[in-house]
Amino acid sequence: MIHLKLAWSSLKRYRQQYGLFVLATAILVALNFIFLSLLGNSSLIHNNYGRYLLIITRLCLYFSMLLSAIFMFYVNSFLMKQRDQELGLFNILGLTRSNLRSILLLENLLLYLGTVILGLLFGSSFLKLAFLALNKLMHNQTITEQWVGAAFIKTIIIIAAFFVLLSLYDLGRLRKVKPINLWQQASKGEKEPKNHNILAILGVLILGLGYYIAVTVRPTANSILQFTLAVFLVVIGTYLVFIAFSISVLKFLRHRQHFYYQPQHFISISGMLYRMKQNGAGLASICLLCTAILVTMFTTVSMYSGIQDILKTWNPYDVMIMSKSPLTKIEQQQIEAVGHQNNIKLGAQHQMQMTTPTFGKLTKTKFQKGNLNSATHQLSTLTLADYNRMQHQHIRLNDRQVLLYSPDVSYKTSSLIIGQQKYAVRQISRFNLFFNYQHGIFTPVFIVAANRQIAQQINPQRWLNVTGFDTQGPHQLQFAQQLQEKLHLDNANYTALTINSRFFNTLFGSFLFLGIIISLAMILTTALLLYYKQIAEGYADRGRFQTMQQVGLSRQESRRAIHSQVLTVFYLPVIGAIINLAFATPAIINVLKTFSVYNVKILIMVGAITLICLCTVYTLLYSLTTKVYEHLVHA
Amino acid sequence: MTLLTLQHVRRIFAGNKNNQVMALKNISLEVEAGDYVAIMGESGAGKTTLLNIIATLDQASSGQIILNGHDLSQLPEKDAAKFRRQHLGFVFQNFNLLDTFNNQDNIFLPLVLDRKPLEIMQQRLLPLAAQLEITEILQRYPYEISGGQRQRVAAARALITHPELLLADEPTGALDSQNSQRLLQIFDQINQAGQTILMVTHSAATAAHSKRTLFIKDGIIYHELFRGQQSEAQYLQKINDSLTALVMAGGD
Repeated sequence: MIHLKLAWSSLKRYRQQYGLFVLATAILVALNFIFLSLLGNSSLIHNNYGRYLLIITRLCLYFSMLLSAIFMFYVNSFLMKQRDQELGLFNILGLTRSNLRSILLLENLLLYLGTVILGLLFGSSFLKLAFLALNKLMHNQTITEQWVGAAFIKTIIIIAAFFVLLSLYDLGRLRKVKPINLWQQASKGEKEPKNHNILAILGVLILGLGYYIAVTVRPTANSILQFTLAVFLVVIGTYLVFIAFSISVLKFLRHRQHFYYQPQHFISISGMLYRMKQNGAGLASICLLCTAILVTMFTTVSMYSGIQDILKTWNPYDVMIMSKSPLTKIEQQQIEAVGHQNNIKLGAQHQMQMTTPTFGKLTKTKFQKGNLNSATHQLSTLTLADYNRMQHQHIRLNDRQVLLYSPDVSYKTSSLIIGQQKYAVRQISRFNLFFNYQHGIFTPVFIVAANRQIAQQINPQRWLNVTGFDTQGPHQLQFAQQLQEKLHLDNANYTALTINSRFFNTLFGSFLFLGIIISLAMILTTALLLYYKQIAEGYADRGRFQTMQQVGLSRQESRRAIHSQVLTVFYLPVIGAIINLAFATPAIINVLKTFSVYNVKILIMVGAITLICLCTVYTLLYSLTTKVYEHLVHA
Repeated sequence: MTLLTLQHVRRIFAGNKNNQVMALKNISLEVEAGDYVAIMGESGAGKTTLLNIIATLDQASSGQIILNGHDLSQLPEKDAAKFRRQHLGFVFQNFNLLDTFNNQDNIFLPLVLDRKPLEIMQQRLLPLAAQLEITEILQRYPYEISGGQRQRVAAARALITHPELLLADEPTGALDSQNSQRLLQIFDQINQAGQTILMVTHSAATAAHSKRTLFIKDGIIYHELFRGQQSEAQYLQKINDSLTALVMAGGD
């Protein structure tokens, strides 16, 4: 009983920090609970595209569990360090180690109960909102909120496991420390960090290599693999740069004596150098978290906002049919019949013949045929006659002239070498039947040639008939599905806007939803890591600034010094994250191209908005935590 | 020449209304340039409060403090900090060295805060380090050296500004007797070279190095001893007698 009282009073004494810990962990618990509820949701499991969502959700769940575990351990070890003296005092006052053990265990039990109860409460309330958001983003009402008992039980067990691990860590720590050490621990100095010049250079090189790969990656079938490699290198590079390179830079600055021996530099360089060893890894983690938030939001929002673009390149008309020969009379009758059954008004048919696309690489001067690994574009040709008819134009071309349509507006050329032949190119900005044949990952490019012979010469492939028409009526989805069955066409040769739109809204909508949730978890973790870091530093710096004030640093000067130091430490990770994002952007844009998202303007805008949001949140955090820090230092 | 003058200094710590603590009741004293003053008294007598007020770390509730023509009683915080680094030197019981700096940078700290050029800092450091026998450990860190060495580094930090007044708060409090002796000999040397020293101490043996000892009790100067031509042993005896009398007087 007395143990429970002591445990409770300890928690109350540190209520500000434990309160925040419980609150933050509860939110993470709630997010994990939402993921678990999604995984157990039967309406999702039975949804057509649900399995994609479930795979990604599972990944998100693992990631957010990892995040929760890291966060809990970090904060716990921070809190335990502060409590060393208190525990030492208890021990000296006559509490045996087994008493202390019971107190710690009881404390963790109380924390666990608080966290889980609060977390499940949050989770259950968020769940409704979450499903609302999910359905909204997916433009779909078929996913229903469900009460998943398994999610509750799993959450309770997983969090319990985390707390058991925490308790084991705490007990291990308790076993190692003697009361006499507990008293002295605070005053022990830290060794100056060693100068790891080799590691520093290695870090810069690895980071550079990661950046290089990210920037040079082209949208080919291998791009996801290369992108993963780049991410891996950037992660390692970021850690090395923050841990080793920062120390080298600071030491270099310290050696420049005329620079170093100025009040501002003197205080902040020495402070950061002293701190970099313990902080390098922390700052790198924060930097990577910020990068991950930026990349996640950037990618998912871009994909979501690119849905219309994708649909347009897949379906310039509501229904697209590809066939070896023009549609037969019977097929035309079937279309009419299915349309009639479903009360669908059919629009005019638009037809053309095009050559089956060839994969290859398009540069400013030539088109080079290539295989799946090196290709970035797919080139098709059509005749001028078809083009003029479709676009109601009267363009004339000779044998050495072609028209070219590319969805990438930044692409400019005036002549191209294709095969052995050089052609004068006129770029066209409109082409009604532009579409992505078989929904390939390469950027489609169309060339209009003077006649069939030249079209074949440029792209010696089989001719395809393309038919597209719009539909009107309430049952378009049903019509599209029935028509595909009737005509016996596979997905490569038949695409309907309504089917695709449902697919993309479900897929990218749920990506965005998961992206938002996982970003929330990451922002929360980042915020609290920063907060606790500031507090820890505030405690550590308190004595330092007091001494400096005694020696002759005014309060105003010390405030300025604190701000410049905290500012540097605070914004280093964000600057790192922005640099990371800047180098990741070309890669992301290229990866998105494989999903037929070509609108770079939208991507850049999304990137900028994401960045501004993150900086705003971060600045808010900065001003909040700096206040706490100053309060501690001046107390 | 009178370096420091205190007139009717009073310091009241406001607790709640009925519980005000008067740490200093009425202190008046004068310190001549080149003097070496020890302030003794029991815990809670007001020694440290007095030192803090002279050090501009604390402000008197009333009364006047004049150091070398500067009125310290009404100094704003910003000017006080500047005044400290330009006119005063400090030696603390716990050294108060910063682990973030090596010893040399710890010593440079007040000069850096005062934006002195690097050349002057280095010029001043060399003879001082030699005198305090810390030349070899300048590039090491405070946590890598012994307590006695730390206190000598702290003394170097106090002296490098060429302060008008050196303030020491229990400078030997954390040192063993051998290191205490070594530090006090250094104090003797610099005092002979003209440095004015004001030191708060518990230890009669430490006070016996001074030229003049003040005894504080309940916020007033209770008694005063001058060394004059006495030997250190005689002076120490007198200090001990006065301390005994001080304690006995408090017993009634």
